[in-house]
Amino acid sequence: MKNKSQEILKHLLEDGFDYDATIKEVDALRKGYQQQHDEENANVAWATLEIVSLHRDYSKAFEMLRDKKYYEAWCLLEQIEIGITHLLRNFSGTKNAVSYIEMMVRQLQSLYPYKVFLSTEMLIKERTCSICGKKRYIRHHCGHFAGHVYNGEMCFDYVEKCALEGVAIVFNPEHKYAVAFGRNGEDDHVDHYDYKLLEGLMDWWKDPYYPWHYTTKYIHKSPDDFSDLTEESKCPCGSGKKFGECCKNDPEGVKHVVYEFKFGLKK
Amino acid sequence: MDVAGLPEDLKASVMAADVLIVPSMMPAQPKAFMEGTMDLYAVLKTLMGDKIEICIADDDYEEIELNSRILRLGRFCVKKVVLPVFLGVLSAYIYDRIKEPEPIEVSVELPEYQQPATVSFTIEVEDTLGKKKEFQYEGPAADYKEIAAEIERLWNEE
Repeated sequence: MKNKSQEILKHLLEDGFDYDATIKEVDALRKGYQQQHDEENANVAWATLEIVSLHRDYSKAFEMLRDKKYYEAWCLLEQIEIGITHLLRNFSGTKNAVSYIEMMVRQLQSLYPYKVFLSTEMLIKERTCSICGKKRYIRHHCGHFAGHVYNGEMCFDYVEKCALEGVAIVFNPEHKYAVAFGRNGEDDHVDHYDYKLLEGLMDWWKDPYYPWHYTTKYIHKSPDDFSDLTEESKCPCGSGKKFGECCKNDPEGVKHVVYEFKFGLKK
Repeated sequence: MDVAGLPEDLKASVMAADVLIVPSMMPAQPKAFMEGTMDLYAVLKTLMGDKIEICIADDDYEEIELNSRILRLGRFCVKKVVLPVFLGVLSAYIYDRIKEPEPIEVSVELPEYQQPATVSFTIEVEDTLGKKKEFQYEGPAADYKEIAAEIERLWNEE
């Protein structure tokens, strides 16, 4: 399986690479190894499957950004982030196969306007292991740890009984998909976020494997440059304070962040 | 240690434990343990042997998941004699749970959800002469090794 895996990864970035057919082929191999209890090869197949899936999803997220489906892309980027974490936790030697998309996912996420998230607080009363199906007891651990791969299968918990204790508003969520959106009416979901940074990037970025990076710097602008600004407006500097309590009294003007994008490899 | 609510067969092993995991003491769920405690308990048992206990009966065990990105390890009562080993095992556990991606361009102001992962814990250390000290930490997980060394240094300080 190692040779097969290396062969697949060698062609992964070529034009026309068929992700779905490769995933199907590797998954069939993985299942075969699982049936034979060949754990080593089943695990290599799992890692190969993950790498190919991560690259496929990264390309999909890129397409979603081009189509201005920002929230959908955000959710997929989070899935990629989680997938990379699981992959590297189990197979740290695969880092080179995903380091590029890991970097790009983080850069893309940092350009989103989402800052506030909802986070559930759950009391977990009973769960079972996805690998052996046994109920988990504190003093009788089945030996399978959630997040680890066994015989080509990722272990996780099935929560059988739980209680929702509350919902908190957080800035550093475990689950990034829970973005706070507004509503107009009962079912009317409103995306009130400003995606200008991503829009600007996508005007120039035509190939998901063409790297870019960015830096930020602060400049000061005259308050006259912000026509609708009142004392009560949110300050354009991004502090979260009201303009009247923030940059209004700054003799240098309104602090303004400037993003500079550079395409090509970082020197 | 109040062991009044525990079954009789557990009381003795709880009292004799070198490392005791105690409940979160959170106001809403004082008897619940932090998310991941079950795995941490298994790791401690494997690496430190039998003198690890948790202050709850099997059937009463519950975990609380607070889904902000902080690795909350919970609260531990540790005998001085095993403190260095315990701190080492905790280090391996934190390393396994938090795999940090490479930091991106440092000149960029990152959103809060991309800041380095945070870890929190409370360790109460006691020796055979009755000397006791409590250490609380909440901060970057990357600083854990320095914090562990500092805990040992502070323990030895009179």
